[in-house]
Amino acid sequence: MSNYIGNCSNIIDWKHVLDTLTGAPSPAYIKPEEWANKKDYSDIHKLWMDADINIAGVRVSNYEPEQMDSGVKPAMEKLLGLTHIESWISRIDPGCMAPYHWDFDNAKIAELGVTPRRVSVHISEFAFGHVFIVEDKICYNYAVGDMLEFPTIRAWHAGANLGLKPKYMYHFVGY
Amino acid sequence: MEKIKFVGNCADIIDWNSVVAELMDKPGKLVTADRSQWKMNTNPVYGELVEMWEKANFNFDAIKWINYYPGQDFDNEIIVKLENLLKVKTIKVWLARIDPGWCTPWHWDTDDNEEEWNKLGNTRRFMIFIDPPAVGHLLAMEDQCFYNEAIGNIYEWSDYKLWHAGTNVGLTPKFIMHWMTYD
Repeated sequence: MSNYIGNCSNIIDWKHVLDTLTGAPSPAYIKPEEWANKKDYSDIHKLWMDADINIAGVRVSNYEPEQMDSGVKPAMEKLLGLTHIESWISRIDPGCMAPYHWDFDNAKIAELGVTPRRVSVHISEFAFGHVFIVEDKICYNYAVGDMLEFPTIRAWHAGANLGLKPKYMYHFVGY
Repeated sequence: MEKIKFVGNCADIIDWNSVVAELMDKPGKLVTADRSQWKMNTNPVYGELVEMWEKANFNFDAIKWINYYPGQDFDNEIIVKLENLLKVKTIKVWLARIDPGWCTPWHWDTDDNEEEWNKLGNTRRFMIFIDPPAVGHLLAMEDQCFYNEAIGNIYEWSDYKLWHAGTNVGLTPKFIMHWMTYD
């Protein structure tokens, strides 16, 4: 876990954050056919189609900042010394996965003209089968609050849940 | 004893790239979540596993793997070489393939003949990584996860009943050899 940058469970009660999420998460990959026509998305979509990826296995859903405890964003900004650009909580249910991909740039990033940093946090208790990779590094058997910094915001990564309990992560992009 | 122990590498005695290349277009034995294909009536463990997955609301649309067997799908000579290397005798061997976007859920490998195995002697289970490291090829076992293993790496399990699961969130098929033996 070469990108490990620390643990934040002493400043954020992630169980409380998960217990108080409001509303339903939004599916992150709804219409593959739409991806094919979007800038950036199309490259990843083509990669997946060329590899004949089982699209029925691709299911990730996200919670937006408005659905989270309002204390999370400022606490993370302070801890990381960064200004928030975007953040979300991802949920992968048992038997679902996010194949190898990178996350598309928020339009604000280009306007700001800054080099953003990305940190991802494990926020649910580790359960067997919860896997996450960033480039050639695996993250498994983590503690709640463990934080990983991506080498760049466009770093290739993937996640899967082969276990029996939902897997949650918090993702923060800032400068 | 460690749950999973590295015992060596066999890439110098077996050309795994050729073995895998020959399997690519073979159908093998397809395993899916289709209950009718599972021996629910003769082995209750299958039912217990499926029930556990159902209770967890596991995505059954992502369950699929393919098993290949010696003699019919690949050369028995490979097994002879490995038996000589590790001084064991084979009970059962299969090469498991998971294609991109598919998985094997959390499970342990049961078999209808477990009682017979135990009469043979000291049972030993191995796994061998038989394709080169590739993005997204993952095998989770209890509290360990294997990723980027060198081709030919051999690991011994402390117990053939260890819980494990595999997935392929990458772009190329993933292969592992599973090998039940005794000495």
